[in-house]
Amino acid sequence: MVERSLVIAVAPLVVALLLLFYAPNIALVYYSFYDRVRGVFTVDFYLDVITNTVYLNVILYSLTIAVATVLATLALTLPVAVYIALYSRGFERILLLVIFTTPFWIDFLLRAWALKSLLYMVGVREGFLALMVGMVYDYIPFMLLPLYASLARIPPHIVDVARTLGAGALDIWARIIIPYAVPGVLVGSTLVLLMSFTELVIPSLLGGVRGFTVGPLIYTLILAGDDWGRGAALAIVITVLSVLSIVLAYRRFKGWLL
Amino acid sequence: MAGVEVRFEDVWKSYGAVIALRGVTLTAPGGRITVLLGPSGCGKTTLLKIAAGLLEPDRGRVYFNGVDYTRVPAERRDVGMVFQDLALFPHMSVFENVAFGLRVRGVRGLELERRVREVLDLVGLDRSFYNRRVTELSGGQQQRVALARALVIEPKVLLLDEPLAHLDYKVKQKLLEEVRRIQRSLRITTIYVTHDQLEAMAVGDVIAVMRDGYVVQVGTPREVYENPRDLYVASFFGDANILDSRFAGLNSDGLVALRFEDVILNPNGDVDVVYEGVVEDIVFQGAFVSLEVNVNNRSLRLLVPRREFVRQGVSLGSRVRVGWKLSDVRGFNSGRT
Ligand SMILES: Nc1ncnc2c1ncn2[C@@H]1O[C@H](COP(=O)(O)OP(=O)(O)OP(=O)(O)O)[C@@H](O)[C@H]1O
Ligand SMILES: [Mg+2]
Repeated sequence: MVERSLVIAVAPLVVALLLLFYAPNIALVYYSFYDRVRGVFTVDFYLDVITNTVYLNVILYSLTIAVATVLATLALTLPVAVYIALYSRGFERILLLVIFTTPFWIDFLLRAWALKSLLYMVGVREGFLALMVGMVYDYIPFMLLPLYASLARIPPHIVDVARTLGAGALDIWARIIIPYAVPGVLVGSTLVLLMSFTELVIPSLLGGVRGFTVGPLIYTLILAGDDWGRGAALAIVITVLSVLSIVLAYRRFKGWLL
Repeated sequence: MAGVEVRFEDVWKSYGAVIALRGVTLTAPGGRITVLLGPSGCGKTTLLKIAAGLLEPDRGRVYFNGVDYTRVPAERRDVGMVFQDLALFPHMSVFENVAFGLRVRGVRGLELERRVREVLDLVGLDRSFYNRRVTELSGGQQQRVALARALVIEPKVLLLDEPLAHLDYKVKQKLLEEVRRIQRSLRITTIYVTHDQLEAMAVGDVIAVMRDGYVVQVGTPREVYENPRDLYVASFFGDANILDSRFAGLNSDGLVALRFEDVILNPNGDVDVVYEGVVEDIVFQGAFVSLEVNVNNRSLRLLVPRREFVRQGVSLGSRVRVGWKLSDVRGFNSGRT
């Protein structure tokens, strides 16, 4: 009985996903192989994308920024997540979680503009620094929340026990906190990597000339250049790359998943 | 190894507005088991954490063999602690849980394996357990792992916070015996927390009865049982009737305590006070039978050996005589109640 009602409850989401997510993506695949001008199917767009050094450079540059964003958000949020999960309780814990996530209750465009004016005020113009600040700032909750969720599973007192057994701060990080953090790091990194890799708004608003990452590139190709073939091929190459890197990461850390 | 003596001197501790300890002074003699006995919330765990170095007292000192350890952090105290909730490492196997304290000390290879094996043998866990996840063990097995993990570092002091709570009677009896056997063979100074008086008597060389952040009385189980300092100790440690002093036969005012087993059923001489009453309740407890007798609308509890109970043929509603010796009545001059 429960199963049957579950099927009914799940159905709307499945239908929505099929129509809104999978259908456009299948269309994208179609566009990436179909040359509208010549009216034939071809792999030229793909060849173009993976051999054209301009595209490759943009992909590489975007990937560098995405990885840097992952590392920076991780470094910034790990201590915070440890503090919230292990050393705060009750009202303080809720307050901290709210404080670190409220900025994200505001629309992302508005936030980016606000950040832009703020950076201008302190004399930082569009460029790499502004771009990185914007990215890191934007993706903090996507790293913090999964990290917090996995660290919150550390049972009470095991850090105390470890201390009585002679564990110093390093031992506690290495033998308790890190093992517990790994699933959160994987989930958080996946989210941040995928989203920052193809981010459109932040590079456009804050990146200046350095802001030409894959997000704006695809946007330009498809919407400004009307080059659906190359835009679609690029998008798919990036998707494949992302999925591949995530599969590899999960393989690598499988034994760590508690 | 004589064992390290642990001494608390006027230890105070509060959590915000809650005062958990109000000046505890107590010596846990080297190589012995000292039991902290007291009701929930009286500060037992807090005192243990202060001994472990996990909490700093607001005031007062802690000495290990006369050396001031008050500010020595937990990781440098060589104290083995078993927590009330055990707090095993759920992400590690049985072997790794026990090996933890050795690994952080840099013990490796064969020596690590030998020492882990020795201590797991000691608590009665064989090889088949080594690779099991601790979350897949029974309660009693988990207690053994927790004990082994604390013992493997050869601690100066062993702190056990209700290590056998939530176990069924038989398992508890067995583990109690083992704790005593292990403690005797290793001669580790042990502080054992419980709120169960039977457990306290079973393991304690010394018993410290606590209440509201104080230590009320310290002594051997027999001393405390036979000479409770006040009504609180009398009724908490062992069971006692709390009676009006004049009713009990004394020529003074106030309250006194009379142990259940010191009230004699249908005495023939040899008692100083005798009353008549009606049996209102009978609880069969095995070796003993607990009776409630109504004497002039006061209810008295008495504990009668089963054979005696059978011999006298008492049943509900029986009219009986009850009596006691004045020397068994415990009066108290002062004492908080
Ligand atoms: N972290 C804490 N924050 C605030 N109050 C606390 C904290 N820990 C303990 N207390 C309070 O301090 C008092 C003593 O607590 P403690 O845990 O030492 O009692 P206990 O004797 O071990 O009780 P139990 O037998 O229930 O384990 C209690 O009133 C408790 O509510
Ligand atoms: Mg406690």
